[in-house]
Amino acid sequence: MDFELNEEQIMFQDMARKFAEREILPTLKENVREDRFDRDIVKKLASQGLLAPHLPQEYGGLGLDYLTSAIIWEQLCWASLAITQAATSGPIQPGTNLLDAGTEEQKQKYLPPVCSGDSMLVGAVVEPNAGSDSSMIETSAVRKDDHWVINGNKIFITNGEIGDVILVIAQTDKTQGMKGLATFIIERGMPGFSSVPLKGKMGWRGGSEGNLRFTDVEVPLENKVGETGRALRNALRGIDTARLFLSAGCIGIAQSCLDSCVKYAKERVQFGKPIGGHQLVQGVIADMAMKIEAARWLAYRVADMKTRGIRHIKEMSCSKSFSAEMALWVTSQAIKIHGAFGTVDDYPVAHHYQDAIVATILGGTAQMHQLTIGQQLLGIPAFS
Amino acid sequence: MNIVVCVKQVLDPEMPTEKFRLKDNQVISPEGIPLVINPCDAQAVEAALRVKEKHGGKITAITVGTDESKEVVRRALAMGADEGIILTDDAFAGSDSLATAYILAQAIQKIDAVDLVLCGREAADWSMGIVGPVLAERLNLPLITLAKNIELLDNNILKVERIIPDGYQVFEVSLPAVLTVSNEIGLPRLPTGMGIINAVRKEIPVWSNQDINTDVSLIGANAEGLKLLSLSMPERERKCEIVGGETPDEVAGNLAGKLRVAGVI
Repeated sequence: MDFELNEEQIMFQDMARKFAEREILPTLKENVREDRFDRDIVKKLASQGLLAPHLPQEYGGLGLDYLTSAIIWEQLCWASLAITQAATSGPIQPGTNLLDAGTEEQKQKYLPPVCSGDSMLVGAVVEPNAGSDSSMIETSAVRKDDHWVINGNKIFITNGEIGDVILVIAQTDKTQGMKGLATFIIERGMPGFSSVPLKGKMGWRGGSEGNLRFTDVEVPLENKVGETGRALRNALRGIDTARLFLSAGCIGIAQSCLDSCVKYAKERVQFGKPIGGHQLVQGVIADMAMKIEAARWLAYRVADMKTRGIRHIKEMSCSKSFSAEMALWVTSQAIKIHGAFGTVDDYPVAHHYQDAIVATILGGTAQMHQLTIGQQLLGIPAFS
Repeated sequence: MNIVVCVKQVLDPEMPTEKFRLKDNQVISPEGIPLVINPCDAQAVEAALRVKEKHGGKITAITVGTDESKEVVRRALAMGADEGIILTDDAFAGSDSLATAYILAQAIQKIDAVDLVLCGREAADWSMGIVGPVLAERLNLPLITLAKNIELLDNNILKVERIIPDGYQVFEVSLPAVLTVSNEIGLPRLPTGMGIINAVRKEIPVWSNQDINTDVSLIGANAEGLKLLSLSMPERERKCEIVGGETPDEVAGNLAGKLRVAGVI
């Protein structure tokens, strides 16, 4: 078992970190304060080759393995999970979905512009009454002659307000439940499609979220992706990739907090010595390092399993849940170590804390993943 | 335009000083911290890439070191260099700047029709800035140090802006020539993803002393033209002072005054 990163992975790790330092950090405070997503970052990531590292080169990606791709995400998120998530979510969840289930024509048409940053792809699954339980999806798709007619709402959609191409999961036959779900490609500008930005977020600030509305949107037949009844299964492949990257991103923000804590604890003098010299502070920092290290190697292990095509449902749930909860703990402790300074945005910890809270929900809550892990171990579903 | 860029692997200058250890007048490399391309050499690669982008050509990155030095050459390749060469031989071990320049000169003479040789202004480890000038001497080529801007004119003439304390000088030099590149040239580009993928897969030739025929009495530890007498960690003292003032202008003025008194500006 070799735990050493190879030369290529080290070079990507280094390059992604430097990119984050050069291109994300300088405007981070301003973007977060104003909750403004700077779309230029998408083009910059694309020209650097960091936008879609896991997608095949024939569609404009780099064709990298999932471990290297996760390492890239870890380093980008070291600066900001919210911005990295907004900028790269298109190639991740909906991109993987389209890659797996789309026709060659659909892939050739939509993936290259996404990988070049010219077009933003959006995955739209969640609805007001359908979060983790996708069987509750109410957005409808009705076949009429040579097209489908879509009606409904989607909420909490990353880049929902600004995305160019939306992969929408809709119900074609309510009586069929999950088997009635199908995926459709909707392009911005199609009559009946509208979106509004999601405002007032406590986390994900500097990213981009929106709510979508479909009113009698007519979608050509060729815009249906994959077979009816396999929409959720196809989406879950993209969600599986998203969960891996989220795990890595949580490790990135936790590492950033640890780095900041180590520096601050050596500089900040109280009671006659640097606070890092006080045992209680040192103990917290040591615990941070332990948890981050555990989360990192769990995520890397899952990434390796995914690359090698090994079944990893249990391991992915372990990793996503553990990383997100770890990040929430580390970031909250980091704020305490920084004291009052930690509550303002001169230090990175507050932004990371806000994103860690969202990361515990996005990609499935810890409780949902517990149920998944439990089902894998016991063979008994406990979802309902 | 056939450009050769000399690159060196150094300890990361951004590494905290407490990570350094000294023993018997030698720096002990800390474990777990990878060596990096000398930042000034990365700027030399950047300068070469800008010339190539405008006028085409080929860039070869060359280094003297060990097998581990391939990482620094790969870095240059990932940035956009076309070829790399590693010069490694037991006979090279312990070479000082003078000997290193001689080794590089011998190797560069083996490369066909070199138009331009670029070096960083100095290395981040010893900060001597010797290799470029000695290399020019060894190659019997004109030298311009501290270039901040390079422009290729007609007739194989290079127009070079050279940094001086109060501004810059403008020179024109016939090629072939040797330039050292100043940090004013700007931030070196990051390697691209495809650059990394291609760099990692590229075969980098390794040249030994046999390939470049150096006079062994001029290289290696025994040929020291420079003798290191002692090496010690600098004493660092830090203190924090809040500069006051009624208005932002006054604060800035007070700050500038204090920096001037401290000799910083």
